[in-house]
Amino acid sequence: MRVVVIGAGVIGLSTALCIHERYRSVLPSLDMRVYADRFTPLTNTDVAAGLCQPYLSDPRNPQEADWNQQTFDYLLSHVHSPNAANVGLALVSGYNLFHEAIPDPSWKNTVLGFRTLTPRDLDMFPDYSYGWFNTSLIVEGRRYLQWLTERLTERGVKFFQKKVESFEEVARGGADVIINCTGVWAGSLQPDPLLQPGRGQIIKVDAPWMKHFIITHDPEKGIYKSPYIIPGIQAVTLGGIFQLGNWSEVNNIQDHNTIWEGCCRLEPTLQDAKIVAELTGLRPVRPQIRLEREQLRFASSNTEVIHNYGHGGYGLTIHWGCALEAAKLFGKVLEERKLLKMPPPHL
Amino acid sequence: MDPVRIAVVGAGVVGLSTAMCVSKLVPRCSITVISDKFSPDTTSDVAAGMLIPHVYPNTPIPTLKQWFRETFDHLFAIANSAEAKDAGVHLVSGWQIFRSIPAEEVPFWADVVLGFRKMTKAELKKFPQHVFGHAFTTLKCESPAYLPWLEKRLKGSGVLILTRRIGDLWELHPSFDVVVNCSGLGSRQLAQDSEMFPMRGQVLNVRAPWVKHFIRDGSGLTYIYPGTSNVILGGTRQQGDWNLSPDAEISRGIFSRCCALEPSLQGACDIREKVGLRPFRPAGVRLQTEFLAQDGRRLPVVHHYGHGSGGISVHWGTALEAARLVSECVQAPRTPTPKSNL
Repeated sequence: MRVVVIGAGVIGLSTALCIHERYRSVLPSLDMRVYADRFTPLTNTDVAAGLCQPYLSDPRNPQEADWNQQTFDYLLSHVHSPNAANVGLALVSGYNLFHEAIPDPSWKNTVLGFRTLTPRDLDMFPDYSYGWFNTSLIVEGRRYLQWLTERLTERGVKFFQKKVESFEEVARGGADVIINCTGVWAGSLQPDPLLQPGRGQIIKVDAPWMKHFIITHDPEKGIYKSPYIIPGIQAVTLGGIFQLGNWSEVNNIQDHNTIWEGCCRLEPTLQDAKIVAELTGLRPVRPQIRLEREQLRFASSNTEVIHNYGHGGYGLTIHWGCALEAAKLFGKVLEERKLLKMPPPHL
Repeated sequence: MDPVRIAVVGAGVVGLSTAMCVSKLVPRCSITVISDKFSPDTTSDVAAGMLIPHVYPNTPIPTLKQWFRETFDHLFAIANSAEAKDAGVHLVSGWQIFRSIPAEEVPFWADVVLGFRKMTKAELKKFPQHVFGHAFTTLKCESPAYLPWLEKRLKGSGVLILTRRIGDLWELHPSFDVVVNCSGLGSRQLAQDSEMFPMRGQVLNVRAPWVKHFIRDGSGLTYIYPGTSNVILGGTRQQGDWNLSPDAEISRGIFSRCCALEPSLQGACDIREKVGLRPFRPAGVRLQTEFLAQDGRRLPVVHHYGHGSGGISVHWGTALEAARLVSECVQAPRTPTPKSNL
């Protein structure tokens, strides 16, 4: 059984690993490959700050809330291991800031130690009058992709650099199942008017005294359009750009100024920070994630496609829950094709 | 009237902050800081500088709380300013964890730090051997940056800095009108305080930039304190031990205890061992004016030493107190008086 995963960002690689971990032992014929035109450090995952935090409002698809929780629990169970830093995982605490009181988020019990800010906390942020403090996780895109690649390589999964032009090409090449993790570019394989780029730009600085994330919110502007500061393992990510429909992958000077001024105003100590990188990424924005099966017919055979794209700005936050769901769908494919010798493993 | 000539002996966190407070409080004085050691070679430089106070047996809790609050407020203002990076002061959150429920569930300083609360069950899962904990946000004041920053500001206000080993406080007579003794462990000799002894502490400085939270176990013998460029792992409390050379077996023990609390430290690199001798005084911090008299000579000395494990946590509060004592001293008439019994 040949499985081709298209896409080598966090969704592609984690879905590949999840499926391989669960089905290789019961499906010895499993031959899995990853096709992608971009690998780390050139994927959108590499640009992401990596803070596990869902959007504030409840997702349109209630399953996404479960997937967020599953991802957090999974990563939390790994952050206490000796290997955590190698995987790109770390616990991080910090502040969400608002201009007015808002209800607690539905994920308040998923994260650790959630509380609202006291007046003394708020003294640090004169432009804001309300907020939350909690402990969450960061999963650094680049390190995590490298770790996933190592795990997949160990398992014999092969990687191919290629630009896939169509599902048909992959099907005619012998793929029985295609896992479509093409992110923001999914539309080039199959038109999807619901999918749009949410362009983001970030500045990475050397500011190792920053131990907390600080995320500001402006409901009028919308998500990610207000300054945010997220410390990573080595560098601190400064951001606050979200431009729907903008496909430009080039850094923009006005956006640089917006980010720099906004973040320095929020955290004056950043003025001394040295800039180490500036990157642009395209969030794959969609009203909800497309995570479903589709059967395509090419020549005389059916090819199963499992779509897993459209994770917006919360791909790292939700990736493992989606991978588990994709693995479930894969299991169903195997059942239907009567390929499983034993009952499917407990997921 | 000529400006009062004040000598501050000692250039650790206590000496430099006292010089600073004196320069602000006492008008028309000239200050000289004299020390044989400056950053990075002071005891303060070895300390992690976490603002979590220690209890001094003879100090009433309200006084201790005041000292801690004054220090916290002083450093908090720096942490939120553009000076934070140069001064080496930043906020850090974390956990203080206990293997059994402590007698005092809420310490006296709980409302001085930020966001103090009990740890939730979910948070305690990270520490399977521990049943209770506090979560809060406090400050870290890193002496290798803070001391040079203080020194720079002192020089900017006209304070003189001199490298000299003082063997006897009388050496400063008659060049100085008042001596402020911030010599820490050196007071054993300089103040003939035989009660002073070192409480040896060994630590490891490691590179582990993914550690963003502090972890302090119970009484504070084992701790993980993340700083700007390294994480400090500790520690030991060895009474009366003057040995400044690191002990390899102790280092292994510290590393092992810390990895038990934070397994990811196994990936730490660039491990460096350091030793500091905490200036321990059983009676607590000595903040007292003594009028030395000998052969008709008179020398007012304001003693400010004996901070043990808690120097950085209360340094600004005690420095303000010391500056007040200096101010009183300066205002007292300059006629010979018998040594007062304080």
